[in-house]
Amino acid sequence: MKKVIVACGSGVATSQTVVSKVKKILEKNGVRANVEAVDIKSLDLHVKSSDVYIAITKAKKQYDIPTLNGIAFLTGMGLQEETEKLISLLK
Amino acid sequence: MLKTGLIKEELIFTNLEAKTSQELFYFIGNQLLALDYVKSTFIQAVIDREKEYPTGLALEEFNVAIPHTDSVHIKQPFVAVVKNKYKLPFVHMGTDDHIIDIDCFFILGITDPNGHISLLQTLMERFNTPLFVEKLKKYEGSDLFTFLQTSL
Repeated sequence: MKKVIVACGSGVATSQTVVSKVKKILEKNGVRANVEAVDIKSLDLHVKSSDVYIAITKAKKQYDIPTLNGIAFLTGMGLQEETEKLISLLK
Repeated sequence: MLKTGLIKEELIFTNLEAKTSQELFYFIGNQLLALDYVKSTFIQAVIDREKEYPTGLALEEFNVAIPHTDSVHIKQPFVAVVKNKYKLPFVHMGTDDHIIDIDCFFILGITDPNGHISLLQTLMERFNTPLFVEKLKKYEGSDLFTFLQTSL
């Protein structure tokens, strides 16, 4: 199963909220994937074993896996576009 | 509905006259300290975290910021709602240079990450509801408290 990771600054508020939202969206669209909030300090390690990175903070470097805009999942602004990208990446 | 009691009248601050975000954080932080919600390290921690991971959010209806910091600085969970008389410039979440003027602040004191998913989710849903935002902008003081208590 493909793996999606979400990281925010502290890992206590926004990333958990986005994980929950993303899980709901995937379920609604019948897409199965593991969605996990990870600590930004160990992001490099997690990226190696993941397929998509949903970023809530400004990326300090470029990663080898597709990166999506996590703010869209948090606020709903531009959500449709990010949802479509996510689903096509997980299919 | 949120866990009852998270929204408290003593943590609703309206008509505040902070000229800068720093001033706002010091004022609210000192209130939170006096009321025993946070440790003395909270103010600096929230200021530092905002610099590294800004929390301004531009939404359809208005601009809001959700400053928060690590749970080690929190004594008891809280949500402080702050409306300043003047809009204050904040950096948008996920950027380091996109400045937006904030209408309203929800300062979050988070101790249990899992228990607060629903808090932030509920807030985000309401923030995208025009009627909620209209009332949030309109009400002050105890009216705002009553409104938030019944609609969150």
